[in-house]
Amino acid sequence: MTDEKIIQLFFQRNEVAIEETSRKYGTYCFKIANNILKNREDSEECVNDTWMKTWEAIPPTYPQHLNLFLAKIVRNLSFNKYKSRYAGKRGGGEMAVVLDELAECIAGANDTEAVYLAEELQNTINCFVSALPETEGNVFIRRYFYADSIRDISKRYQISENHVRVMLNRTRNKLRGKLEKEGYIV
Amino acid sequence: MTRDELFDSFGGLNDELLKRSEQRGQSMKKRGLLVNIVRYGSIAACLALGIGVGTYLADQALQPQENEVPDSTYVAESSDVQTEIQNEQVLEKYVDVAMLLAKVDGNTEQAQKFARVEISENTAIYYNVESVGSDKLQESTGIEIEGMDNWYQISGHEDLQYLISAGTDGYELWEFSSFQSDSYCYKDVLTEIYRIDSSEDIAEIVVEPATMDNSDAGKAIQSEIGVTNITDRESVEKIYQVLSSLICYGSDQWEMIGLGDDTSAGMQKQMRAGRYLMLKTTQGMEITSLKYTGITGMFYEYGGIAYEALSVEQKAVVEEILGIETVQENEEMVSEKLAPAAQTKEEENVEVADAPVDEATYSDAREYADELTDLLDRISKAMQGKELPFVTSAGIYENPDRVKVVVNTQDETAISKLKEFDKTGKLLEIKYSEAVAGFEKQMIEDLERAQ
Repeated sequence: MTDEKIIQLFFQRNEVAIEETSRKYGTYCFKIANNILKNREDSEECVNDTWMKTWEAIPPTYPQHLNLFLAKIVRNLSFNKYKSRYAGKRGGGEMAVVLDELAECIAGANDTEAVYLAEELQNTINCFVSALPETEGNVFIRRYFYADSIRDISKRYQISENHVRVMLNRTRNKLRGKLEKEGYIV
Repeated sequence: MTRDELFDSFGGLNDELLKRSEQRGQSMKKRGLLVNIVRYGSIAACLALGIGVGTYLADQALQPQENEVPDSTYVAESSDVQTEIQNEQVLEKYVDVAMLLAKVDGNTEQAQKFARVEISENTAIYYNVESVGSDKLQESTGIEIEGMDNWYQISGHEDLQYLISAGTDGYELWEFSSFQSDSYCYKDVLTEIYRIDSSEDIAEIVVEPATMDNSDAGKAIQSEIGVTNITDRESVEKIYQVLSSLICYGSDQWEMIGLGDDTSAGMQKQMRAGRYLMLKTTQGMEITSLKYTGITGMFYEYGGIAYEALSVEQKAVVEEILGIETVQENEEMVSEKLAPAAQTKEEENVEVADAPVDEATYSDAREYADELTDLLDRISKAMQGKELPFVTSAGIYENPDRVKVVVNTQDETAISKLKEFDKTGKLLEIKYSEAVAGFEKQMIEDLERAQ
């Protein structure tokens, strides 16, 4: 079933919409959740919650890209679950590595808390990624939006794992420079 | 700022960036060169070993060759960035699909199996093809299709013409049939399935005579027509431009294709006006499903997959390249040709709005050329803005001139909203489309039974 038809079903408040979304995007959403949580049960729970959130959001929202709309929801839910599970502790799995990598972008910054709005930071990240060369940008997104493993990224873009690591490291350094320049870290 | 907050902020990435990142693969042309080296190297190795043809060859071709990089083995890595960039492609074992296809006995009749595979934003229909054994297929699997558990590309392939599935019956080989939709752009098939992004990706077009009549007289015509290999870039570009502009109407549309009667004279006429095409891609794939008939000026495929009829200009260009003597047209034929949607299909459709049906109205409509374009523009923008989610397609149609809009709802409010776009009240033709037609319906029933 096409995305448009699925969205129509949501608008008609027809519960078949959830079945069809699950059929079409169940695996896709589970992969994102499991990248973050590395736990089948928790990931399935997040995916089910994603259908509910989608049911609440459509209507009035009319997603331009249903899969990406779902991806954002499931990512958000999964990361919230991850944080609650590992509150104050270092988590495990690939996600811990992803977060450690991101910590490099803000490491050594002055303890003084920079004041910023989450929305502004999102805009900064958007502009930063948009300005990157395409492959570099894609790799960065796969790692820090989808929390894909280095191996998965390597397979997806047919580049070696080492090249992925080098590319990510280079881009993180650029991001750090950008965050400093914009005053997010002082 | 914490690392969690930084990770959260990536959640606001815009859709275009995310969508871009969901694509797979590197530059196809660079990769194609490497793939070809491996492929031809593999073939040469087979020849040197004096391997015969048939199943034995298939068996041997699937064994790892000494000079071949094993499946999923990556080029030696280096921390040096420059070396990395040079080595950025993965050398995956190239499997020639011909080695996976089983020789089918023409007398064997087997129930056709279909499967739905989600590819990007389309649902593609694949049909099961006879192949070598499950073990050989397992060895030939490449990258898994995103979002589809147990569905794989063929190892070393960028295209999705053939896929391998893993299930309770072992590994099976499938070939692309069509997208599951009333209508779709053939360009999507070229890019998403065959990975043909421009005419540069087509190495050659082989044009063969149609073979609907294999009597002595029919064979004489076939022999007279002969086989032509089109390699000049200008002609390939022209054919590509025509193909990529067409709308495809799915399968079982024989009446729309309108080949004509099955009498001996009828079939001979079909043969003179028809050609079978094979597109050879630079990736080494052969797309053999494409056919053309000058009778209705239309491309079509096996299974009655119909394409939008060509314009007069397109028809002339295509037929000159394919070496078809222009079929003498009368007014009736031109009229048929310019009405791209199948008349039979339209007859099955339920009209939900007043369409301009009389010639006087059509004559009026011809004077509204600018209004037609404007009307289509406004409807297109509304479709893009998701204001008309019930509209599945819209386009300007000639003879009579009007904007034809296909909808999938009979809701009066929705239809009224659509009608408001036409300020003249004369230019809009609204058709209700049944979700799926005959053959496709059958496929879906098969699929549901299988599930």
